[in-house]
Amino acid sequence: MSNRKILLVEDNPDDVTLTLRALKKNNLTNDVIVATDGVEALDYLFATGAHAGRDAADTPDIILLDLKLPRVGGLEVLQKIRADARTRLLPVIILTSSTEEKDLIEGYSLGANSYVRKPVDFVEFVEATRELGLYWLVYNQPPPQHR
Amino acid sequence: MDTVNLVNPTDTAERFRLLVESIRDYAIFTLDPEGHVTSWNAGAQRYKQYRADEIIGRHFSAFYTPEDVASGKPARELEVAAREGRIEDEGWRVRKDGTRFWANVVITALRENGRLVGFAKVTRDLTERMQNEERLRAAVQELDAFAYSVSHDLRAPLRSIDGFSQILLEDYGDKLDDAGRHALERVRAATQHMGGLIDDLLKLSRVSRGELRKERVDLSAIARAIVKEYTGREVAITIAPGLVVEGDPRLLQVALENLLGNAWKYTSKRPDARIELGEVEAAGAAGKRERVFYVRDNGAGFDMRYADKLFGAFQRLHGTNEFEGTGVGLATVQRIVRRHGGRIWAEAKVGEGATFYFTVGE
Repeated sequence: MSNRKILLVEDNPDDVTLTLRALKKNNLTNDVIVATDGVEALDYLFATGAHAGRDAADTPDIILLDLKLPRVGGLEVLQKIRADARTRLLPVIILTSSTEEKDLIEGYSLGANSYVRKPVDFVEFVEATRELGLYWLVYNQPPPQHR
Repeated sequence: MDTVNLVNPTDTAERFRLLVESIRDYAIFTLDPEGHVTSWNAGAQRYKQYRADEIIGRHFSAFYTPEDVASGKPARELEVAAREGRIEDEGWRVRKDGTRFWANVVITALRENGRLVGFAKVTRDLTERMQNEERLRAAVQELDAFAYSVSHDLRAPLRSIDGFSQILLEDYGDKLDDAGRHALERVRAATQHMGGLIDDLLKLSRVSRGELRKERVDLSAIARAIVKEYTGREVAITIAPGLVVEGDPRLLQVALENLLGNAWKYTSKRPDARIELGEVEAAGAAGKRERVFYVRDNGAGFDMRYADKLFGAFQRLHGTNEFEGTGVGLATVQRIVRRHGGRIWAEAKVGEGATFYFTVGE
């Protein structure tokens, strides 16, 4: 999985560190782009703002998306991803502390591929990351237009 | 002996009239068989704002909302009262100045030798009670929303504490001695315990939110599915068949998970453990038969002197070193039972087991 690219959308720096570590422990860190809010994530995906000039066709393989984000929230990011032909089919995994039924329903309704609650136990989190990475980057066949 | 002469019937009637007239907390007045006001007391004046001379002789439909008058409710209530002797109603009524109040109304038919001579009407103003209930409901909702957001925001730092403690153990474990590593393990254990507390708090707030569904729920089937997950020990589990009630299936499942889970937990030190879900019939309010369900075990039990603490959130009757737990389970069960209009109580003896009884409303 050497050339796989992950977009991590997460505003909490501790969670960024811990997620990167969990990815690294599972040899999934080759290329992780971190966006710390919804605006940055959208700028990256659509090559706008700070990421103007980037090749928007070079999309990540998976997006790990937190829901509670400053400026533009996770659900709105998801909505914009699904509304654009270039990113419509990207696998999006919601990674959040919320298990609120409303968030789950909305997340899935907007086309999330998966919904994972971050466990408090870091060992569990590493294991969850391993299984996520294995499934989405190894076993799962990506959508055809992509790569 | 009281020397006042109470034998004279006209005197008694007069005293009674004076007594009724002076009551201020209830509107008490009489109507003729057609519904015209024939007497008026202080409470009626206070609630409805008419003086006796303004209202006597007028039809009592003046107290009803235009919608109720249009639908013929005043006449209907007299009809029912005449036929059945009495009618009780709760709803909006109108004061002289047009403002509305929420009233409890009882109309009783007055008969002399079987002939209808009129009606007595007793009205209570429940507006304040209703407003208090609404305020209370809003406060509970606010509190639950608060508990919910706190629960989420508290989990994030816990993940950091646990995660970075684990990083210390993994990357710097060789620089620490056993005591240092042990201290970090304690930090992680406490963090995860707090994570459990927060999750339970979240569950507790969740059972109070949302609509209460009313459908047919098979408690026996739910219980059988729950205990299927209980493995690793020999326990004689008996579940009475056909315990079917009307209620919210999701909430009743949570209640049974907690009650059966407790029975499973507190029998863990017994080789001959028994758990039973069943039903008894008891005499309920107003002489009605009441269905009472119970979960019984022969486990650790508890001291009945502390029974009043049983259902408080974060209250525990056993030490964590003895039995694991956060003390939220029974508080959750009580909330669920109460939301259904039911009751829950327990009987127990230390070392002999506990029985939790509950009803699920009508």
